[in-house]
Formats: sequence, C-alpha cells, structure tokens
Amino acid sequence: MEYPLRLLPQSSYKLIDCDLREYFLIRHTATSNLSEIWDEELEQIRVEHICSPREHISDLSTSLHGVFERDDIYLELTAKGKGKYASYCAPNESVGVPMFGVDFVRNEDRGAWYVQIGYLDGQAVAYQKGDSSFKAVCHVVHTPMLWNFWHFSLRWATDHGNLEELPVKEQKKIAQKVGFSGRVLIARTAIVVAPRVYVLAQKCYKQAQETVL
Amino acid sequence: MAVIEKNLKNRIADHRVNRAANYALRTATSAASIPIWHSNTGEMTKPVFGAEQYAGYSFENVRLFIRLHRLFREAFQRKSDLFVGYSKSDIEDKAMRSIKVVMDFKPGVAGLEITYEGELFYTIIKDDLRLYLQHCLLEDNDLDEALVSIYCKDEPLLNYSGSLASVGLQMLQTIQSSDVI
Repeated sequence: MEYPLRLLPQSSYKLIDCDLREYFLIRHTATSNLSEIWDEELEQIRVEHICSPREHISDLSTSLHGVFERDDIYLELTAKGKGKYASYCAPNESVGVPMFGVDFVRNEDRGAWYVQIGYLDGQAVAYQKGDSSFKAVCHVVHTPMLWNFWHFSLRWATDHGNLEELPVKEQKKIAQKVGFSGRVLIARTAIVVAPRVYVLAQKCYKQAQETVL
Repeated sequence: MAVIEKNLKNRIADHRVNRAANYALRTATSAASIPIWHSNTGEMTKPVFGAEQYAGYSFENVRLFIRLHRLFREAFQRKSDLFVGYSKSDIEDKAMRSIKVVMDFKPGVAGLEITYEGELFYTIIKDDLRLYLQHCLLEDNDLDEALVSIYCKDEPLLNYSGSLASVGLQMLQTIQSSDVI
C-alpha cells in the first residue's frame, strides 16, 4: 500500500489562510462500530470517542475533511512512524514518504466523526464559581504535521493565560473546565455521517508562484 | 477462579438491583415506609442500592435511575484502571450523589459516561433543554466539584462550576427562572 502523497507537506504549500467556517474537521475513533460511537437515544456522539485516553481534549488533533478523505483515517502510524512523522512542521517542509508496514499500517477497525469548523472556532465559554470567573475561547488552528499537512488542532485561549504556562495545580483545574467545554461543544455538534465535501481552492494553501519575465 | 468470583459478584449485584427495582415499582404509589436493605455479601457491607433510593420517583424515573446506575457500573468496570488506589464504594457513593442530582431534575432522557480523566459526564434531555453535567470523581481537594452547561435548543442558558450541591441548585434555579418548561 502506498502512502497518499496528497497528505504530505510540499515545498509550494503555506498555512491555510481562507475562511474555513463551512468546512468540516474529521477525527478517527478507536472503533468502527457505529452503535458504540453514536448514542441513538441522546442523538449525539458518546464523549469517550471524542479523543483517545492518551490525548487531551484541551489540544485535540483533527484533520480537514476534503483532501484528507474518509478512508485516510485508516492510516495509523507505527511506533517507528510516530518517531519520524508525528511532529509539527512548516507547511512547506520536505518530507520523505512513509513506508507501509514500517512507518504506517492500515487499521480498518476505525470510525470517524465530523464537526463543522464554524461551530467551534471562536466559541467562547465563561464559568462563574463564587467570586471568581473563568473565560475561554476555542480556536481551530492549522497545525501541519510531517505525516499530514491537513492536520488541525482544537486549542483554547483562556483569560488565565496559556494552559502550558500555568502552575501545575491551576493548569489541572483550567484543563478540566476547558476539557468539559470541548466535550460539550463537540457532543452538541459532531456527526457521524459523512458530510458534503467542500473543495478548498489551491490559493488557500499554495504559495503564489513568482512570475518570471 | 477470580473470574468465577467476579461473575458471581456481578450476578449478586444484578439480583440486588432487580430485587430493589421490583420492590420499588410495587411500592412507588404507596408511600409506606420503605425498608433499607443491607447486604453482607462480598465487599458491600452497607446499603448501596436499596429501595429507599427510589422514594418519590415515578415508574419512568425508577427505570431511568436503574439505567444510570447500570451505565455507571458498566463504565466503571471498563475504566477501572483509572481508579486504582481509590475505594470502589467511595467512587460509587460519589456517583450516586450526582445521579440523584440528575434525577431531581426529572429528565426525559439521560446518559452517563466516564471520561478518560475519571469524570462522570451526563447528558440530560428534558423538553427543549439539554444539560451537560460533569462530576469529578478523582479530585484531590475540592469535594464533589462539578460543572454544568445548559442549552435551550441552541441558546446557552448557563455555564457554572462549583460543588455538586451548588451546581444542582443552579440547575434547578435556571430551569425554574426560564420559561422553557
């Protein structure tokens, strides 16, 4: 199996700079069993499938649905592949092609959920607790990785500062609130049926070519 | 041997739930004094799940109460590695406290999950309202810390964090002060 080259960063690429509010993010789940992912009675995704135990919902990995297709969720980096490719990079980074069986495998026991960027980006939440308050805003950020140019992160800006810079105890409390807000936002808006695919114009992610006279 | 013992404990627990439910359903409309059952089997030596839990609940709410308790037990079993070093009965007691807060709201539908951070996450639907309640099971200092978000259709009505009791109070006040029900 060959790795889809359309997923890799390329020398002509730049950070996506178009309005993506109507586009969808896609995120894999650990099971392909729809009845495990989707709660029929509540008509919403089960929150345990929003992210894996190893990850934090306060900085959630997703991909931009479109060039990154539904079947691409089956691509799973091996331990070796993670060492080589699971790092953030510049959008125009030069990357070697991952090798099947060495750097990645195909895991078809995966499902997916989708969420429209407009439902998440810029969403603000505020909590009151006694005299103190807490505010956070959700941002959908293009964060290319060596294995996937179309990688996006769900991040949170808080009025207490960046999460990673806070003292450990405060960080834990803030992360808990941010995690809850993330769960609620995604539970309210995520779908499991593939949405319409919006085609992203090349000018949104390709650098303008210099004209040679 | 351990598996057999575990299965047996589960069957005893199931039997206790069913027995309590049957009794509660029979007595739901007759508000006579309801006995508290004590169990001397296994590790449970105090009344964990007796008919007194159902007092005042309607038939539908008894079913929902049982469902939430079952969902908790199933989720707890799947994610037991999150609770290593914690007393199972303490965790269950905590869960029962937030289940009761949910039941006070008399929901139409409710679901419960345990997050990978060791929190109970409830989704509660009542008419046009959707409530999301998170109850922290593993916190160190703040006893019974909880968070709630309430939406009416797509409109946010409340985001609040605090003790479970204060969150429960805020939930009820928000509902009562809004004209949605």
